Amino acid sequence: MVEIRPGLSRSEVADWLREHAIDSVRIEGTNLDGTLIGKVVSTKKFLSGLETGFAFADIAAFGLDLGNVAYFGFALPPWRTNMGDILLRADTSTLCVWEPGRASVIGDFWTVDGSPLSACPRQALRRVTADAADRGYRIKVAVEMEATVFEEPLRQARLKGYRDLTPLGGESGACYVLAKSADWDTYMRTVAARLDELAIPWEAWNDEAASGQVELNLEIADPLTVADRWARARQVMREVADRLGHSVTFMAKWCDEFGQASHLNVSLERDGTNVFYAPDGPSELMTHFLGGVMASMPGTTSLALPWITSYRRLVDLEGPPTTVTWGVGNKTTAIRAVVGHPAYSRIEHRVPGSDSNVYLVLAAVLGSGLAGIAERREPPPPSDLMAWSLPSDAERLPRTISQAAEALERDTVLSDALGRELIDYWVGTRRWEWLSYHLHGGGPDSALTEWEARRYFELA
Amino acid sequence: MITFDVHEPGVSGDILVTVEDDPTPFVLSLARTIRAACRHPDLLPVVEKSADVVGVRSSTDHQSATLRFGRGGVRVVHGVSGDADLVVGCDPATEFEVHALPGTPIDGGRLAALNAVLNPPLPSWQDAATRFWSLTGDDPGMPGQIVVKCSGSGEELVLGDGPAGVVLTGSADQLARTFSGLGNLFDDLYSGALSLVGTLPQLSVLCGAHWKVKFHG
Repeated sequence: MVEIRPGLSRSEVADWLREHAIDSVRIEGTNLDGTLIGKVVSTKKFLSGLETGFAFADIAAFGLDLGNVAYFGFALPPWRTNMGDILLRADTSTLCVWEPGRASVIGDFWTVDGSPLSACPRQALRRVTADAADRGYRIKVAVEMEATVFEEPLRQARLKGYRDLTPLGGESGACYVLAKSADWDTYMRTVAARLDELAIPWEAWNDEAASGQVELNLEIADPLTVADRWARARQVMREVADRLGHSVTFMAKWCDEFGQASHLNVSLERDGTNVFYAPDGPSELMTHFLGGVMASMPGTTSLALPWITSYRRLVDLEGPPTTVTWGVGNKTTAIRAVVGHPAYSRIEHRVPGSDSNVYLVLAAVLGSGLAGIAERREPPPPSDLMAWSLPSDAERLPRTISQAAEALERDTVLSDALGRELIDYWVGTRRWEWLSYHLHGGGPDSALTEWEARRYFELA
Repeated sequence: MITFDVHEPGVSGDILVTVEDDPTPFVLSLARTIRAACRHPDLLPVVEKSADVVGVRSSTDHQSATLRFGRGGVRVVHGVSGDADLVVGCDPATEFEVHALPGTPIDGGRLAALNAVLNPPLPSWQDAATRFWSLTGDDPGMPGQIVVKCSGSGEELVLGDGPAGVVLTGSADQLARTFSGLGNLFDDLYSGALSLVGTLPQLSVLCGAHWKVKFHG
């Protein structure tokens, strides 16, 4: 029996589709690059594929870079064959009405022989979450999403090469400013209304530090739920921008000014109690979790800063962290520990860019943190000073996509948590990205290039 | 495989060819070319005698580098240094036939010497293939065997003694270039200069092996 939701049989799924007057279903999943991919199928096809899954070409789903060129130059995993198939199996608990007549469902990628696809980010996060559950922990996470919205519609942005665009809401550019033009408020109110329709709980939105920049905070939930909501919320923000005649980007930097982040907040519960809480600072478990996260931070950076442009955020004194540091209530460090509250005690990972794949980064942070607990790792001393512009003996985050890929390749904790095959595939694709950038006009000293804008504006 | 490991000493003859941390592909290719020149008995003295600081600018894109000769070594870094004694242009596709930049006259002898160093004679395709295999044959995903066929002479060379792998065919000159790390394996297949009997995964790993030789050979 195929369950669409607990207690629903296949025939009840069919009934649900009929009751909601669904004539097509968009089956979707997030690939390694963080792109939401999928196809639209008829209800008949959807019902027939519930058990078997839906075929996607391996190269098209997981083998093309953002410029639509095949990733090459490294040993491919066994599921990458001569353009063979992989399968997307719908997770029917995610089924929802996306718009009148069309449902949406998120799935996981599998190989044709029935194994979880090693490079599927949702499978990786599912494994890590299950591992935590086996150890008696329930994970709670929240994600902050930042993006920049422009007055110009996407077709005009394309014509302009994504340059010289007009940020929506005016040029005020200071955080939390309410004196925005009405079009900015209309955009975010429309986004929020769509999220409500889709039952994606949001907590807050506001303008961020740069002109046209917005921050949207999604409600705390378990990792898989939050990552699914993140993927859908990005889709919503793109669709609403298009509908209102605007454009939006999640590039880590769309110009040489302010960057955009995607901070992740994480805590662990056991038997309904936040085990990161202690009255006088980080609990012992939070300390060991931090020990694991800090040890794997250089490698995690490759996942948290996936693209060439991602590293342009890492500028001292500009907001994003630049050093491998943590501190209590310290937002200049890579990790901010929030302590002393029975409910809110947590870590905030401040490295991920808005262009990162939340499934992957969460899997890496949780995997390394759980390993830290298992090994009772101690983190370096906390920093209560400004963690920017430090002397050269301070450990800095990897500064480039190539340095970060090297760090990830060496990190055995992350390869244990996410799987060697996923790590090797990811590292191969980042090296491809490094080479592509340099062969298309980029260099270590280049300002934001046209190649980056064309490659990342719409898809990162 | 492309790797970013640049801490290899790069010793060729008595010359130490080094690159900066986190080097660019252009820097790595130039360093590999100079190492190849240092293995050639006629070119090693040219490198040893030089004390020039040479800026090299790509004429087709924004890549550039500085070659700092002298004190028993060559240091290659990205960008053209302000203290360069001469700055030349090159088309990376010609690997690295340099020319004077407009408005920058250069002594012909100096340019010829530099061109010689940056365009060392290619080994025979058999020697190049054997060296290619010694550098990459044990890398993950590499086929257990490569059969190399020279389309002109009909000669054949089998690299490796593993299970039947791929067959790569090309002219003697093309094979020598490919196995020496010149050009781009994928583009050469695309243009028909090379042909390959194998799988897509084998093509991927061979492209990586080619880049490994190109950047670290």
